[in-house]
Amino acid sequence: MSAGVSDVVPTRLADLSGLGLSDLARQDPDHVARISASLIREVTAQAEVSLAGSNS
Amino acid sequence: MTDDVAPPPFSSVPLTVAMFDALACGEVDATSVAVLLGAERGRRLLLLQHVLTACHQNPALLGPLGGIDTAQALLQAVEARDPDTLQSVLLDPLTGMWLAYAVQIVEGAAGNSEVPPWVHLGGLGALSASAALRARMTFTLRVPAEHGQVLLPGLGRVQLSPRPGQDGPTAADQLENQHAHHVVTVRSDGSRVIVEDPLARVELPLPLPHHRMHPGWTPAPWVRAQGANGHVLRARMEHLDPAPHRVGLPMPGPLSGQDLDRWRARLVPAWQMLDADHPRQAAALAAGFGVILPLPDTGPLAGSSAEGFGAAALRLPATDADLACALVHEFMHSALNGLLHLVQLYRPQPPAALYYAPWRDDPRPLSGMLHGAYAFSTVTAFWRARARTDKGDAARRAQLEFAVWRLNTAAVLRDLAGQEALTDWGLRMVTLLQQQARAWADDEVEPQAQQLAEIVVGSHRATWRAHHVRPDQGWLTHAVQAWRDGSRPPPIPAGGGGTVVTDPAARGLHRSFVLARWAYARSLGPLPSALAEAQAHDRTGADTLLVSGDSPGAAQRYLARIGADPDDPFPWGGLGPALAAGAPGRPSGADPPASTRILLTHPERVRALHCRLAAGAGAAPDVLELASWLTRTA
Repeated sequence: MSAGVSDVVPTRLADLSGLGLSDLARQDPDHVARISASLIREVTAQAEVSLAGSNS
Repeated sequence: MTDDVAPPPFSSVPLTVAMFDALACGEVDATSVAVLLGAERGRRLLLLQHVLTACHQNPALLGPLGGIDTAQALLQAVEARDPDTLQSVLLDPLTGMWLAYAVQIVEGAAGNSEVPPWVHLGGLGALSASAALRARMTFTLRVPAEHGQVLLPGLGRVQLSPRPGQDGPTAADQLENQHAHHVVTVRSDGSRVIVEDPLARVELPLPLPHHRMHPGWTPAPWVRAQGANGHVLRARMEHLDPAPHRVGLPMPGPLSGQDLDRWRARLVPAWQMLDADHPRQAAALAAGFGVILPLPDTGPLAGSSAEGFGAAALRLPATDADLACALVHEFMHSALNGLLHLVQLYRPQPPAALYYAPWRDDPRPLSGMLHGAYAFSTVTAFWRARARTDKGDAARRAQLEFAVWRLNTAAVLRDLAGQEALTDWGLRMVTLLQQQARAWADDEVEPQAQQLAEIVVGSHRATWRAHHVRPDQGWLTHAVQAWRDGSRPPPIPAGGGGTVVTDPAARGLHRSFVLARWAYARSLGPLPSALAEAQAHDRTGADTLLVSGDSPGAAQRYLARIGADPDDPFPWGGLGPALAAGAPGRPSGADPPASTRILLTHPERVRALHCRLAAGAGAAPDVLELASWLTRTA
């Protein structure tokens, strides 16, 4: 299943390994907001869909 | 394969294709769990930063707490002094749930709640206090209390009691009535913690006691089990924190000392079974599972939340094997949620897009299909291993479970493989799961177990269709006219056609599975009460006959029931499997006659047509004759 696929999967989450809460607080707030935007939309939307109480 | 990738200077979480493939086919181990936990940590940091920013921008969100600066500063101080403790707090499943609801509050998306927003957002103070208490730091912090109770997340709950000299009903009433939600102070010098307000005070030693003997203190208990291969399960029995309920999970507890003993007595042998016979799953759980939300003996059986990696809401199952299976099953939901946080596997679907899921009574969205296919692939592998290990009735039970779930999993994966809403990565996952499922197809099981599995799978699917699938009116009108004219019926649309409309009355569709477990293996399954319920609902006894080998007798009773009440979906669901099982000399797996097949695949059409004709002039048509006629399409 490797035809046409690189070795790395593009992920949609910023890599914050090595970065702590204090480090993040020192980052440019606008930039943090930009990299968080789709995540915040996703979590906010779950207010509508997560009430089934079960994943499957 | 493109996706929404974070821009520089942050790169996106690295995930190799090999790691994706391992996760995608359910081969979750300690290494892949570490990758998922690393990603969860970053995700929660971003969510926390968002909540902090929103609270700084709008201090009114914090109500009488006045702000969030002190809580944030304390959390950062814990990070500086004891980063492992902060990491542990951040990765706690309940922290994930709290964060999700906090984000929904600051975004104005949380539903109505009796709890004011400041009480929930003020939970950050409680979280900071818990972290600081673990790190044995000196601090003073204002946190919210509800009805005189202060939750210290992950640790336990303080119940404020009147100060000395203020004993008696008046002070207690004041606490209850005047302060349903109010602010209290938590302070610590590293050796003790004091929780107080003007009326009440509780002082506790550090580390906090693990027993309930200390007045005003209810700890969140822990369970521990170690297996022969050395893997250790440490799980908190979380029954105090309301966060799971706020993200849609059922409320846990309450958990008495006796309840806890029951859990421990089941969990230890269940874990030993997992570690001995399923060591890879045990290693994964040991690395990433940490919280059980114990559910009451009535209500939902199990659940998990996308925001609570490593937590499972569970009723205590009846056997060690069922608990071991439930732990593995629910952890697979965590693993898939973790992967979904990294990689989009399907595109958003309209709410009306609902499908058949053989593990549920109701139609489910595509996300539920994928979750179920993923988790039940592991469940199938679990019972396959048990069938090779167990003896006697336990082995017969395992054979039946394996035979049922390999059929169901293969069918759902087949349905998923045709879904255009899957992304390339989602399709890759389904393909990998299908490869795994194909390897199970040749496994030999006892012929009786296989035949029962076909009955169980067929009757659930057919009953589900009778409940939830509505044939289109054009086809129905045409079919009524054709029957009356004595001409050929209209063809059934490719793919089955019809519209899925959730029937809220659909309950207990696993009846034949419950009865089959008992008939074949004297097993009550995960829920002992389910057998009595299934027997009570099997009013005609047809289901019991069907799973006991008397399929002709069962078919007669289904037909009699249809004659008495053609609107009842249940006999329509049982009739096809009864006729298929009763075909003389038919080997297991062979195709049944076409008229039987249509009762298996489209009972909703036969039922709708029968009801429409019965409502018109003349006698109701013969069900078998009608089914046979529907096969005579050109």
